[in-house]
Amino acid sequence: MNNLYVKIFLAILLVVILMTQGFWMFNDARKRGDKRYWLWGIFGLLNFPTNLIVYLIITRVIIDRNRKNNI
Amino acid sequence: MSKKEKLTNMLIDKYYNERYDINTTNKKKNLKEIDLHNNTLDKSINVSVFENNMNKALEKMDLVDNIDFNISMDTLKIIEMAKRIQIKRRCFKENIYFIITSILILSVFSVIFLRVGIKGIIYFQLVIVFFLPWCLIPLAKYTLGREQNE
Repeated sequence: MNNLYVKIFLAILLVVILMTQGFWMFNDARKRGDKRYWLWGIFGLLNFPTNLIVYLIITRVIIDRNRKNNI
Repeated sequence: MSKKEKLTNMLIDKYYNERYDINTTNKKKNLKEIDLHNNTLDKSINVSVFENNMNKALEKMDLVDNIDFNISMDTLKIIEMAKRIQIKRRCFKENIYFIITSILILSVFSVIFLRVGIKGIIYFQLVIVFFLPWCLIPLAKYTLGREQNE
């Protein structure tokens, strides 16, 4: 019985974490002017925290560095 | 030019202190004419009545002038504000749509995983963790390069 409560709690926690992560990625990509912000949001719902790290690498490292080099 | 138009032009000339036919404004003559042809005369041609109407209209125009209108409006600022409000509303709507979509996606995933079992979840997560970064990072670089070339 106790084990079931723990499982339910973990599942709810996971859903909350995934939704928060996806929502943050969705909003952040939109603020940055990315056209694919819906895809980023859905991408954020699939996994935690690898997808967030991948998103941060792509946006903060690759895209930002590219912009700086262009300027 | 009709009699009425002549009278109107004359009154306008009089108002702006320009030359006008004084005989047309002769009120006594005009009144006599009214007395003589009271039933058949068009009342709007009467000088005094017309002058009265014109003065009333002018008074109303003065009233409009006296009302303190805020003419010094910053139109650009208002347009910017309207755009900001529009964007805010759109963002709010999109946020709600995203929350609904995410709930749907997560519920679909949970149903699939409940049917497939714990092994399905583990395989799915392994695929995402190992393959997605290797696909997405080069893809992002490729799209950036293509956008630059365009």
